[in-house]
Amino acid sequence: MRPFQYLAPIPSFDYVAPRTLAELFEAFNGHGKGFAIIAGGTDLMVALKERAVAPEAVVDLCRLRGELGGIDVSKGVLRVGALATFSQIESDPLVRRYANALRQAAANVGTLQIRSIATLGGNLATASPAADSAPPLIALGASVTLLGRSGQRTLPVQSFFTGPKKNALLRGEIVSSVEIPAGEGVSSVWTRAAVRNENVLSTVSVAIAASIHDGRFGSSRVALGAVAPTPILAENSSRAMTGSEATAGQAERVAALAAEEARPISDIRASAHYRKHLVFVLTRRLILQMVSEAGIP
Amino acid sequence: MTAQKLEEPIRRLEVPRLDALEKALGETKYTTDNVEEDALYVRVVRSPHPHALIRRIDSSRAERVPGVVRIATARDIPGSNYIGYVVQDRPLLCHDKVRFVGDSVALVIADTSESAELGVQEVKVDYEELPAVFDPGEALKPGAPKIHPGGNLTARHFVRLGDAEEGLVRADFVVRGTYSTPIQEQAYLETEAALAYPKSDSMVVLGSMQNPFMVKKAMATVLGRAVPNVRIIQAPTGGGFGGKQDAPDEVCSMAALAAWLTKRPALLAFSREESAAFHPKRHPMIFDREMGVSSDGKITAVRASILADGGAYASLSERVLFVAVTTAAGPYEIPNVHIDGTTVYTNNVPMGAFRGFGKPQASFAAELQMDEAAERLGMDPAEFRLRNILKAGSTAPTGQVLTSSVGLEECLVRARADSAWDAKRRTGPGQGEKKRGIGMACTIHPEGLNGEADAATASVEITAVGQVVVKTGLTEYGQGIHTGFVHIVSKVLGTSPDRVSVVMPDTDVVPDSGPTVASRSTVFGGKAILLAAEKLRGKLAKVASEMLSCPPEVIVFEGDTARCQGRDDGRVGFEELVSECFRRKLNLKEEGTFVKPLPFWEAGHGDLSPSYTFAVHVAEVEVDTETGKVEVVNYTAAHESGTVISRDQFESQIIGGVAQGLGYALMEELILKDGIIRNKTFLDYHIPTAADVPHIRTIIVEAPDDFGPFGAKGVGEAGIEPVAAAVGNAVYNALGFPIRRFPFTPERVYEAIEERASRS
Repeated sequence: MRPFQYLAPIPSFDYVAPRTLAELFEAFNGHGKGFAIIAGGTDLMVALKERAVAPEAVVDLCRLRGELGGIDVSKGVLRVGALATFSQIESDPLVRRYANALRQAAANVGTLQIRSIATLGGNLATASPAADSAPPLIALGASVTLLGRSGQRTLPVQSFFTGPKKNALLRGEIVSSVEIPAGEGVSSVWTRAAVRNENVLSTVSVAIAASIHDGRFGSSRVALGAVAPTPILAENSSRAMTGSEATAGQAERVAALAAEEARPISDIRASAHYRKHLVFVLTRRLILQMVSEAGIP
Repeated sequence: MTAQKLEEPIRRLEVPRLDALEKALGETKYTTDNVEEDALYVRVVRSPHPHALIRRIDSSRAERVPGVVRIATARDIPGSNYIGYVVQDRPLLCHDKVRFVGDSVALVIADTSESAELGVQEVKVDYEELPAVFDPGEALKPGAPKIHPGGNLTARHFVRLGDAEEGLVRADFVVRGTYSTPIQEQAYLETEAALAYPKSDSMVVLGSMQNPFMVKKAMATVLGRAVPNVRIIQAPTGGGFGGKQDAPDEVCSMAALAAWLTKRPALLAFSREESAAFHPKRHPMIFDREMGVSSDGKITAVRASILADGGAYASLSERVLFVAVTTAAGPYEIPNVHIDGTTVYTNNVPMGAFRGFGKPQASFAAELQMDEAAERLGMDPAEFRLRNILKAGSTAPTGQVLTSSVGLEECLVRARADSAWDAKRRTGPGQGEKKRGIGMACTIHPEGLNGEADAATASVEITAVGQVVVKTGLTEYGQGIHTGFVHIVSKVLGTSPDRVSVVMPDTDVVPDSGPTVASRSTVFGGKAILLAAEKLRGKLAKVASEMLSCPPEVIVFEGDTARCQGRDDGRVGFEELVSECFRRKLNLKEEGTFVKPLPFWEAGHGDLSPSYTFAVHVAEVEVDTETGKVEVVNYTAAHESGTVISRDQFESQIIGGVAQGLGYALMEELILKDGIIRNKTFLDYHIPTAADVPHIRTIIVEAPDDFGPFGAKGVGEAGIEPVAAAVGNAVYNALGFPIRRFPFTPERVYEAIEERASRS
């Protein structure tokens, strides 16, 4: 008997699992022609099977959890390591406290099996316009740290995405962590619309982070997923929300601006018209939810 | 013949699923788990065009790909290239033209799947594209591209009862509407697979299938006299739902052709994408329907025309249309009925058999229109149904007088009570953006092959060590039928279920019991097995009577023993009794055959089946009117299928049917553009997850009839049939207006709400 394989086997490649960052960059150097990075592998394995990529080497980050994993807070910053899985993020008390929207998104990605292995860094690096982790990070004003042989650099998360499946990583760089301002008094929420309740791409996702004082929103950020070539910060909507009264009327106005800023396409998953409408509905609902959670009548 | 009265309800004898443990442990060997080292891989060269002439097939480059052993085209087929269940219109390998995207053109046979894959890319087919037609309405217009030599009409059927014209005129009002249904994909876990082994003068094929004897017949056609004997073995099969009714004929024939040409074992197995492209789906149908109603709530007439898109080949279209046409009026007393149905060829993927077989479509149109009429009447839809519902003694809309075992009314009454229907209808949809709705739908399911004669043969044999072996051509592909057979035999012989085993179907070993389709296995196979087991019991009783000195008529079989009724003194163990029979050289092998004669059907009416199954479902939904998302929050399914043989399995069939029906109702829709399937994988063809299916309350109504074993009727399909309609009516109740097209995806529901708002 031989194991049945429907697809021809994935063409062979070198496999490297460096133990240190130095070894990691060494490995990148040694495979100048083409390497792929694997963390959870939930995107890469599919791409390999579909022959969307044919790397000469696959560099596995699994032994670098010390350097690239972990979730901690120091000096007012919540740092989430690139290798943190969605399951870890979903159950982490610090994330719950400082980045509730990210927790909500993490809890809804894929299935339990996927959440147990897929990583935040991988979700960002794949740069899908529908990446569920991106709108919460953008709304929370997070930045992403990119690490290369010659050092590290930091970008706002929204600047990290440069197009559908395109990001700002240079050859030889990896996503090492995400830094989220850990401000007290900022609350954040996330929601999405989808055809079914689990294991599904979001038709639209929205995240909002804001503080509320004396019946008014403080600095506010509205971020949108799956309605543009990349996850986006809805700038007009965020500006309008900042400083506005926390009322139903304002929620309507901010949501309408967000819908205007969305630039969705029509495809077999949804029409542009419907996606814009969803941005309006979900944004308004999130604002109303924040208002009600703040105890404003 | 009358139903056997059981001393105790058979359901108390619960038997665990025969295949549960090995499947849970991952020990089950499916077709692709049996690939031997020397097996060749077969891949199919498929048409990229929906309609094109084949000018030339150049396989010279492909033949030079390392590892490619042979390329096969239609020319290499030793027998006939044309197979098909109703009409032999589908070439195994196209030679003159292709009729849909995915049509099979050639086989690449290679040492590895890698070589086969490369070989497929190197087969150069020179096509001359032809104009194509994708819309069933366009297909019959003059000047439409002609897909088959005889034109694009596949079949027509009709029902005539009374005078529908007159009935509509006499009605106090008439409701009219156009209803349309989507293409549904069977989405079974295991995609198609066949492994063929050539022998010196025969061919053995192991494969995933519902009907080994149909595969045998197809293969005899394709291999012709080249192979005098073909033997088909059904491998454990991971789902079928009708999709493996006729597709395995082709898959197995292709593997066999490859094996015959190369004299080596050959495997053909499909990826998910190929499976989606290849096998026949659930027909999309359009119903133009009108129903006359009198002011006292009686239906006076139904007139409907049905147009089905059958895709590129006939498959089961003609049969599916017949079922849709004959159930289109619904399970109601309607004196005047006029139904016309047409199924046509298009250049879409073929449509064919799928659990429910035309009834989910017919039920959607009929049941939505029932609620529309109820609204006009200002009457509760449950009440309106009760005024018209079929009962024992009713004349069905096909003209048949139903004599007994009509549990529909009780299903409705109990589903209504258990779902708190009256209270919830009174409460109404509520005020917020999320509206609640509750809806009901009924179904009627004729037993056995529809409009055809039907028969099944099975054998039961007792071995010298007291094992009971059942042989039937009816296949287990996930529905649990073999466990049902164990129930029946162990009940008749009074043995523990452990003694009874069911042989995996193998055409050299088991009798032909007809196809495993149409919810017929329990009724036909079960009855054939029951008859065989009763003959054996008769023989055993005779021997036992001599051993125990009492008349054979009073011998009771239970607890693995035989004893005389009313006497406690003597009993003989089952094994001892069997040994005695063997000592006496008695033959302990019996066959049973159960026959349903050709039903009477003429001039659009007749008696379709001696027996019918019924169900009434109630769905409760919450509709988010801003996003259009429909959440099914409660579900009640009341079924009448005669006597229930196993409650556990009966309920799991219903629950599975409802879950698959909820997929059909809410999200499943194969999207084609210019004949190309846009959602071939589960990324975009959404089936429900556990998170989308609510708790399903099942209600079992028992109305035993005189037909099946112990008065049982079939249950495999009824569970899916009324689901889309029940959900549709619940959405109607929530929104206040009907949406006559589904699935009720968030966007479609939102669009309907938006359109309604813009009109008012």
